[in-house]
Amino acid sequence: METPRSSILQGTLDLMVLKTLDAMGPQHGYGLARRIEQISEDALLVNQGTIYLCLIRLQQQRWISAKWGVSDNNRRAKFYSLTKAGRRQLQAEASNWERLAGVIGRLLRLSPGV
Amino acid sequence: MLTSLLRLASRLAAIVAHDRHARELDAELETHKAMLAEEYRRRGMSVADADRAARLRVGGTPQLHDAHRDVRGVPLIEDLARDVRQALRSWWTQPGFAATVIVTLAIGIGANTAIFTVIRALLLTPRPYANADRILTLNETWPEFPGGRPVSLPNYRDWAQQSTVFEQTAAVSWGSVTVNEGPSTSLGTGSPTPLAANPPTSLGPVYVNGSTVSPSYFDVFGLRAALGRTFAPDEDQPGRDRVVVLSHRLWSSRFSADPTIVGRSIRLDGEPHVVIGVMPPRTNIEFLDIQLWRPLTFEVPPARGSRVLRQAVARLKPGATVADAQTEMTVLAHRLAREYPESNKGFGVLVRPISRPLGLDVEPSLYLLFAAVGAVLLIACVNLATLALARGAARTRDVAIRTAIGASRARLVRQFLAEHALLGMGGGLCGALLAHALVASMIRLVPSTGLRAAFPPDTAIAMGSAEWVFAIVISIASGIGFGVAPAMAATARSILAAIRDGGAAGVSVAPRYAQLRRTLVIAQVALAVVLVTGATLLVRGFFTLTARVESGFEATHVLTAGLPMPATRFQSAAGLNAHLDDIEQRLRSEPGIRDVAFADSPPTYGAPFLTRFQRVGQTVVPFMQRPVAGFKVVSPSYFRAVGLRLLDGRALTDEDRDNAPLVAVINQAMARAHFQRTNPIGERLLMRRIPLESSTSAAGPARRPSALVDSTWTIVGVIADEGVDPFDARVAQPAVYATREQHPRANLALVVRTRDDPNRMRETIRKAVVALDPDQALPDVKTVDQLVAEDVAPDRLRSLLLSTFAAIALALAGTGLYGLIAYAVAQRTREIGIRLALGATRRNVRALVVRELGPLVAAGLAAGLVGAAMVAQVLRTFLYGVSAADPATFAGVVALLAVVSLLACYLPARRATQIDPLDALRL
Repeated sequence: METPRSSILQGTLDLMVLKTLDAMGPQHGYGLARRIEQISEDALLVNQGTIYLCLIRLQQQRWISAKWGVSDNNRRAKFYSLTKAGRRQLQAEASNWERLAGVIGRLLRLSPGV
Repeated sequence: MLTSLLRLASRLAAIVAHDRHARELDAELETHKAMLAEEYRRRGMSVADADRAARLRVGGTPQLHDAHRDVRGVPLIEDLARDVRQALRSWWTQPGFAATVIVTLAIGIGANTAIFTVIRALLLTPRPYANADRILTLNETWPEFPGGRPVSLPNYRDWAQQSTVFEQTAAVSWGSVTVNEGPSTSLGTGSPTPLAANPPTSLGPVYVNGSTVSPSYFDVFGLRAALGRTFAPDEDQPGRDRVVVLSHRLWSSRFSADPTIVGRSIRLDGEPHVVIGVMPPRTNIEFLDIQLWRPLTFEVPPARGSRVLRQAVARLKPGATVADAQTEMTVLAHRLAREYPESNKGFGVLVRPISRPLGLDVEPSLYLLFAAVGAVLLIACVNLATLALARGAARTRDVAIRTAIGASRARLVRQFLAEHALLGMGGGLCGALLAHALVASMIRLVPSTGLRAAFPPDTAIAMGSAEWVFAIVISIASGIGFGVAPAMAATARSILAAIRDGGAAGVSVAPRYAQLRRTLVIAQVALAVVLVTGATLLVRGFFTLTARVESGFEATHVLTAGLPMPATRFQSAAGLNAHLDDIEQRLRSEPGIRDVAFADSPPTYGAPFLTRFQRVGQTVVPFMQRPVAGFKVVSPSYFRAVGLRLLDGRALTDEDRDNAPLVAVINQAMARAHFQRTNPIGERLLMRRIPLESSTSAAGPARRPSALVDSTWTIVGVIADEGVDPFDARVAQPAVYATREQHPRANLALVVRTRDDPNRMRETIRKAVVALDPDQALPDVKTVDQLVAEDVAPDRLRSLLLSTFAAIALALAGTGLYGLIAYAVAQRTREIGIRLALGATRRNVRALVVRELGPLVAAGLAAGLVGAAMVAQVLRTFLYGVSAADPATFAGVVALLAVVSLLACYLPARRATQIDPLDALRL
């Protein structure tokens, strides 16, 4: 039984999915899960099935679209791709993160007593 | 914002496409697992290991489906849908619970909605004119009679001139007429016109209620005619007053909604009148069935002491209140009393809003009914709460398992409430249908006069959208209401305790649960006592009312009918009486008729026309200070025809004609009130004779009243009181009877005693009368039995309704009580089984049960007694002949309910002790 995700982790997962789709083009669920596992070193996906929860949410917000297709080993799979709105969202999210990282970085570099 | 909306739209759509989404997810997961397994195989795992590893990695499919569905759809709606489906399925397998609930609720909600419909129609329907809250009626109060009474014209004129709070005033008097069709051929001579010259009209004459009014009447209400116009200011002058305004209903029914009616001449009481206007539909201005209006005209204005106006109406100036008006008018009345002591001393003014007509205080009855049905609904809910409690207890294990697999308490409570709300709606729907039927039958049961008069004739007493909303709201509220506490109780227990104890019956209950149960027992018993006591008192009163219809006459074969005759028809009293003689002779010649008589009012009406009298030999007092008595003009055969018992002296005879000494017969009430110590026979009374042309009647005030002179009348006999029941105010009134020869009066009613069934003589009588005069309308042909029934109808109807609701309440209370206690006992089946197994006798066990429940029942009885006493006080006015503190009733009810409660304890206990202890333990 998994613990409920915090919204921060949820947002991170969203971002990763969008970025992966942006970088690698249309992917199916397995591909995305594998990629995210590799990058986050298993921190973000306790079990791989939960990627589908993220995917349906992103679909509802019209940031990704889905289409049934055929994978490299001839399996029928649903492929997800980034929409224009998704790309815009990705850019916005990315700049948010960078700004946040910058602020926190500066904060952490402050020496005691300042 | 937009994304949220889009998301919501997707989610709602997903509910519908549920299956497709589930299948697609399955497919995706399969593919995912397959690909992952392939990867593991590539890394060197065996096929079996790879599959298993892949499955583990992807995670549990059912949980995933659930989570996916929650994200994908709208969980609330889906859960609700599932709850509903499950509820329906459980009812299908166990219809008993659902059926009981729905029937109980249907009765409670149906009754409430029906009463609400009636209340709304009667009290809350807006009046058809604007500013209804600023329009008032003004009546005089007479020193002898409280309440509003007729008004005198000079007084009205002074009010209109001297008051400062009114914008507009008008005077209203009677004006009922016979409507004929077409131009007149009869010229109002002393004798009826020959048949040949006056062919019968196609529709026949009809007698309608009308009013004579000041020209400003419709302006007071701000009403305009739908066709034509209303009265011009000068149309109350003699010569210009032969005009009439018709009601919409009369115009449609009688004149076929003829659009050219305006300007046409129609005959009213034989006189041609020009129709100048037709009012819009549903313009029921006062609470009377007024079908036409004519101008109030006097050739000679009546004296101040002669009160010929039914009432006055007025519209307040903006900013003025009813209280202001009453204050000002009271001051004005005092001033007039000082200025004109002879006619006005002791006379006041009563001001009422138009929406609260005189003598129609049905409001208390309606609110009482509302309270009664509200109580029934309350009992129904308590019953249902009991049932729900029982059901909740039976599903404890169910609840425990669900909690164990992750359902939150809120979720479970929601499920219970959904089921109950659904039951509530089911009950509400049936209840609304029941209400519909109830309202329809209530309208049918109410007779045309009596209670029906309390409803403006055009009132639609039907269920409108407001009533449906009401029904829906209280049904959902009831459903949730009776479900909340049991739902909370059922889900309040800890999981472990439930599973450990094995669920179902025989479990030691959580404290809150037991407390609720105890409270319910006491409440149920108390409510039952209150309702059963109230019911018994009412029912006893009802029987008293129907049984004790005492009357001074024997009237099983008597038929009455109105004989309205226009005042102008007969120039002299001799002509009128000769005409009546003709009618009498004609009817006597009919074989089925035993006796014919005339009277100015039907037998059950007492003596509505009043006179002031002075006993000769006592000090003479001014006219207006003389005592009042009823004065009834009858033909001598009246006493015989109606069967009025003669108590002393002689009755009136045919010898008491115009030129003979004036004689009168008094009734017992008069003898008791004014002749306690002397024998009335031979005593003389000074009373004023009202000449025929000066009398005020239903046709309106006399246009040319002349001065009245005292005459001396000798009392020759005493007869029994006319009247209907001991509680009828009319019976207590003293009355004097005189012959129609010695005191002619127009518009006498016909009274006929038949040999056989009076209902079969209606047509014969009608034909005979119309043969003599085709223009004669014969309204209100009724047997005396019908008149009596109509008289008591409002009280009877109310008693019947209350008794019915009380009986329903009794049934509900009884079964609810039994069910509650039976359930409480059944709950302890396991415990009982243990005790039996350990060696207790059956008797011990039964005693145990009674011992626990006994105090609760006793507490309920005590509380109920107190409540019943209070309710009985409130009901005092509706208890005919039964004391509100009747010890027999109270004792009987307590005894009855104690027995019922004991039975309710004993029987389930007996049943519980009869099962094999092993079975009990296993449950």
